[in-house]
Amino acid sequence: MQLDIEKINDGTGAIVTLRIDNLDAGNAKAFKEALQPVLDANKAVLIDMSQLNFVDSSGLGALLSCLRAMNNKEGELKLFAMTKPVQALFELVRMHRIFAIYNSREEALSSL
Amino acid sequence: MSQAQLIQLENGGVADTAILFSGAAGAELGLGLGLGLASELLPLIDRPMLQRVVEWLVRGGCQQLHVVLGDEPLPVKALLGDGSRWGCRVTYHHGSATEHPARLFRRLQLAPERHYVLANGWSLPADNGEFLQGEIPPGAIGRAAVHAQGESICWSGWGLFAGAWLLGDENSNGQSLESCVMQEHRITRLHMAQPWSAATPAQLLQSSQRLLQQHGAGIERQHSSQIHPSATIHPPAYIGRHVRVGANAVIGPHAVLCEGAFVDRDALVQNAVVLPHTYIGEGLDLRNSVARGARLANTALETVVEIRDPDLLSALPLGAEPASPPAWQERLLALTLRLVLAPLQLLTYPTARRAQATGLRPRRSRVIQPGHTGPTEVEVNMASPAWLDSTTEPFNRTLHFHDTFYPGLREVVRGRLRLAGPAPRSAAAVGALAEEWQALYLKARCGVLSEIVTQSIPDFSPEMQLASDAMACATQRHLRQAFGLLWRYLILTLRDFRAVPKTPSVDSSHAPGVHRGKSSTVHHRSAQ
Repeated sequence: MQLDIEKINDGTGAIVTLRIDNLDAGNAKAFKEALQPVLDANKAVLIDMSQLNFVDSSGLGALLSCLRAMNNKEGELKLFAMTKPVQALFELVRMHRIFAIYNSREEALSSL
Repeated sequence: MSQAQLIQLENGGVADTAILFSGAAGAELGLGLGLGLASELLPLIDRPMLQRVVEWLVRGGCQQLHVVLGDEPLPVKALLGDGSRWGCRVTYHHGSATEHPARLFRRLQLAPERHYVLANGWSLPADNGEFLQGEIPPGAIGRAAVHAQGESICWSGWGLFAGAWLLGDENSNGQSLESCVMQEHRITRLHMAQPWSAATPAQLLQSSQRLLQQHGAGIERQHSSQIHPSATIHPPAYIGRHVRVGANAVIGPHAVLCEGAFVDRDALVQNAVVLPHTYIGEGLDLRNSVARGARLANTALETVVEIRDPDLLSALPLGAEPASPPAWQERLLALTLRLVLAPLQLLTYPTARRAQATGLRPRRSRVIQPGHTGPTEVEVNMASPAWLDSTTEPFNRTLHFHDTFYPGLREVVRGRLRLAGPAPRSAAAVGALAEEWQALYLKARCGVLSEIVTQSIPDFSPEMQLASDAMACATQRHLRQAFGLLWRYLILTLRDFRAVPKTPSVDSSHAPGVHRGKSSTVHHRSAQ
């Protein structure tokens, strides 16, 4: 699972760039396991979705699980630079009302 | 769209021949939908775009259509046939995106002195055909329908042109046909509104909305559609044949549900088109989109995405129409049978009373109702045919008549069951069956009669049950088959009834008409 992690906000936040094309049943579990330490260590996590072209229900479940984990510790999880196919899926399943989604990295950073 | 006027020409002749481009043969004119089906075959509300085009041309006087096929000729041929359905002649020609139209026109052996209508299968001019009427000025080649597309003007692919020009060298200088049409000064270009179009998802959606408005902006609902009472429909909306709308779903405004679509509970379809036999999953939010099978074209985001989760978006099996309730003729027959057979029901009462006393047969049961995904069931006032279950009891046809068949006729009148069909089972019982068996119950409505109960000596082996249910599914549409079963059943029931001893001391399990199921042990069933 390829994730690039960049620290922000004096180390209290992180930007995670997903270097994967698909987030589906095949790698959803690995994604959660790879992201968990980042969620534990940061108050705010921004996920760069620009390279993700496909998400299925397993991938959505993994993202939801991460959101829940951050909400439980009163942290923030935001998504940005979502590709159109993924955005269409999010709108279809109404996940765009659950996640904070931004068009760009700058917008996401300014929301913190 | 109102009827097009006859296409009259200056010399009084009629342009009765059209050249109709379909599929990739018209690629130069712009094609591409991403939904896995050629644009012209997509329905605009209630019928394929191509069909609308042909109807329009025929109404306008075209008697001969030269259809130029692209990469997928079979669906087009299947739809149009030889044209006799519309009162015209259709001949087919193969074309390719790389072949210049002038070469194609020469292959069609067009007559230079005549005029021909050029058309395409995925769009239709919005002016009711008037642009094809009237005289063509001397020296002019013809006229073409154009419309604004953003900042530019483009050709709609429709026009009336002289055969000589179509065949001539000016048309074969390597430029696209559209370029030739737009540059030729002898062609009158008539500006009109956006054509009706299925060329892209956005155009299909827009055309559907315009057509809904044109039809009165109300709710148009076709027969055999099923809408849950708690669902909400906001006009304008179109609900096609065999559409199912689940509980609390919200449809519209500007929603088109084409034939066989299934919108599951709590879903929202707004400003969207659900193409035929497409399943929209529970709780989904479909806006500004065109959905076909597992593909979703979001026109606002200008993207097409394939959904791999069948419980979200999927194609329903073609041909698996929701098993419709019995027709009025069948219901009337059931009502008549209840009246005619009432005396026999009274005569079989003692047998039923004895069985009831031993707790053999509960009088109510749950029966699965057909559906595309996920079973639903209703409680009916008739005994389940218990000999089909693992806990068996001997099959008693007299008892079956009194507790299952006769009460079941009432369910036929109510539309819940058919006269003949797969054996009535609960949803839980169907869920426990093998997959191929479960599929039968999703396609056909349960019946009061089946092949097995009309056998002289019923064979309740699993293979026979499957064969009986499969036969019932295959023949359910034919009332004649049900008549045959009914006749045999009544003959056997009367025979068995007359043979059963009337004195209570005789063990009925050894009487004729009483047959063992899978087990030779008789169980006293508890109420379900």
